[in-house]
Amino acid sequence: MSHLTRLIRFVRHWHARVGVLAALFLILLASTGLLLNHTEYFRLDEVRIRTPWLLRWYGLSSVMPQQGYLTRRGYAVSDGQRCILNDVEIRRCADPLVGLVEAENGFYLATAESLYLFDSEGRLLERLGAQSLPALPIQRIGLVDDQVVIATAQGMFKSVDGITWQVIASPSPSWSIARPLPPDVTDRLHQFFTPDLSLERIILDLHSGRILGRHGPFVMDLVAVVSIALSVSGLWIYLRSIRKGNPEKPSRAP
Amino acid sequence: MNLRSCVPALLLLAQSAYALEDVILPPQRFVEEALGSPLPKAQVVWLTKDVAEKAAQILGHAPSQLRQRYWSGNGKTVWVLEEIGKEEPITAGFVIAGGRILQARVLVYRESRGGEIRYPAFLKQYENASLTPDARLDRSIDGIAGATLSVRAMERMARLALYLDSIVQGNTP
Repeated sequence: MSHLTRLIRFVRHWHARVGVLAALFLILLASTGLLLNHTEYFRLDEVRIRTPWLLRWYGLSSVMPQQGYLTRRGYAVSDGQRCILNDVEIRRCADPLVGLVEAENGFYLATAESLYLFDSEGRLLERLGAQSLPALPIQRIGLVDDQVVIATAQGMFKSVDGITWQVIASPSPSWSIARPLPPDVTDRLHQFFTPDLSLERIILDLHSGRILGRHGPFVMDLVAVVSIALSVSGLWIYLRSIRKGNPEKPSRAP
Repeated sequence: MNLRSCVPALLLLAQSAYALEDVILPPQRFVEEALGSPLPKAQVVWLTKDVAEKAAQILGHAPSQLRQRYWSGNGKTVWVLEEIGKEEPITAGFVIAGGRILQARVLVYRESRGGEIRYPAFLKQYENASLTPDARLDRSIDGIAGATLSVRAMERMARLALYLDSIVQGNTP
C-alpha cells in the first residue's frame, strides 16, 4: 500500500468521524447565529429566564430588600436598582428611596432626586424633578395636616398638590421611616427581586461558548479550526473523486 | 475569574451603561431661558379620558402619567416631555406660541446611540411646525441614519407638546 493510499484512507476515516462531532457544534452555531441575527424580530432581549439552575450556573442569586416604607394602605421598597410601590414596579426609579407617605389624595414617593405622585389607586400622576421641586436633594419626606413635606438642605417645604410649595419654618411632620417588611410583603417581592437573564444573553453565550466559562470560547475556536480542516479535507476528497471521473460517488480507496 | 463570578459584574456594567445620562441642558435652565427667572408658577394639564386617548394615538402607547406640567408667560407655553427612543427616555423641551413650535431642544439623552438629534441642524426643522387636524406635524422631518427611533420619539413629543398646548389654549384640533 502506497503512502498516498494510506493518507487518503486516514483522511477519509477521520473526516467522517470528526465531521459527525463537528456537525453537532455547527448546528448549534448556525441555529444560535440565526436567532441572534434576528434578535429584534424574536424579541429575545424581552424574554426573561429565571430557571434556578441556570441562575446558579451564572452565579446569580436574589438580594431581597429587608426594609421598606409602609403606610396605611401601601408599601414601597427599593434595592437601589428598581423601586416597587404596592406590587407595581415604577418605571425609571433607580435611586434609593427616601420615603413614602400617604395623603388623602394619594401616595408621595421620594428619592433623593425625584418625587413621584400617585393617585389613591396607584396610578402615576407625575414625576417631579429639579424643574418642579423647590430644592434638591430630598433628605426626608413626611406629612403635616395631610400635606406632603419634604426636607432639603435649603429648608422644608410643604405642598397640597405637588404643584405649589410653601416654606415651613417649624413643622412637626410625621416623617417616613424605613421599617422591616412584613412576611406577606416579602413573599410578594420575590417576583421583582429574583434575578433573571435575557434569552438573548444566553443564546449569545451559547454561540460564543462563554456559557462554558472562561475556557468556553477556546472550545468554539477549536470547533472553528476543525471546521476549516474538515472543509479542506472534504474539498480534497471531492477533487480527487472528480479526477477519477465520478463526482457523485467518491471512489473507495484501493 | 470564571464566568460565574464575572457575569453579575458584567450585568451591572451593562445596566449602568444603559443608565448613562447626557444632560445637554438641565430642564430647569431650559424653562428659565424661555420664560426668564424666577420661574413662573407651574400649571398642569390633566390627561382626562379624551385627552389621554388622543395622546395615546400620538405616542402610540398610553401616556405614562395622568397630568403634564407646563409653564406659561409672554404668550408662550413651555413643555418638558419624556419619551422612550429605543430603551431609555429622551427628555426634550418645547416652547410653543400661537400653535407653533418656537424652539425644540433635547435636554437629556440616555440612549447609547442616536444622540445626533441634539444638534441644531436637526432641531431647526421643528421651528414653526404646527399641528394638522389629524394631529400630525405640518411638515416632514428629515431623519438621521442610525437615529431613526430617537427621531421618531422626538417627533412624537413635538406633536404631543403642540396637542397639549392646543388643549390649554382651548384650540383642540
